[in-house]
Amino acid sequence: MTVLDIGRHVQAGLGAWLAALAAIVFYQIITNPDRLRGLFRTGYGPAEPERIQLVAVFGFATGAYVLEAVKMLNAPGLPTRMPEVPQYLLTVLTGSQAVYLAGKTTHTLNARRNP
Amino acid sequence: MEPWYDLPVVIAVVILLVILGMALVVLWKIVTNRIDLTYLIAEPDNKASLSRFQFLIFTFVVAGVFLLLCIESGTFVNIPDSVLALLGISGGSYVISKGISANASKSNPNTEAKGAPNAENVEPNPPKQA
Repeated sequence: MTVLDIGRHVQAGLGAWLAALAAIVFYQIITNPDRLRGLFRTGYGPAEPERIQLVAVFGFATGAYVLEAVKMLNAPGLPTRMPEVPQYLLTVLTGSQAVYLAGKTTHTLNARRNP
Repeated sequence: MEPWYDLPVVIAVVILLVILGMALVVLWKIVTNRIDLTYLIAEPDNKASLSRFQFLIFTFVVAGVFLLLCIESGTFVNIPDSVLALLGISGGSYVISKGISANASKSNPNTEAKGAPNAENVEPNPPKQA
């Protein structure tokens, strides 16, 4: 066994650990719905559109990036870098964050004016 | 084989055991609730924060992809600027969102939740029961 083999075992072990950590964290979040309370609204009113659009956009961005990574893993040859995030996706994400933050600021100001 | 030749392998195995051992201890403590994840995505008012949730997911996805590609290639892979920009956008949104929430709490102290952990209501060393 060489040091390089041990390095690969460390990488594989940390990969498995990260997958287990993600699974445990999301299992604890999903099985306790109270932890997601207030995710889509500021107070007790209806779900807010700026939050729903943020979830939709970052869900799409995450899915698209994971697909790019899977394509890279299945491509011939060894990968030398992580997949790039397309410029249009960064622009859409920035716009989505701006809409969310503007909506949150508006709700906060409204709550201050009408306690 | 000369004994001194095994030294790098022995050191590498020890480092492997220490790193993976610490990782397993952290995982075990999370599973047995000794590391409490209640406020992982919640704000002090006990409501889930969407920007924290988003930051958490992006961090896991980027770290997972990075690890997978490193394992596949057998060496560290380059991280493009666009990926760093993605994490920066998510992190920046979280910081600004936290600033907005903090500002809202200052102007309306009644919104602070009871039971949220802070220096005033957490016992540093709760008494052990026999």
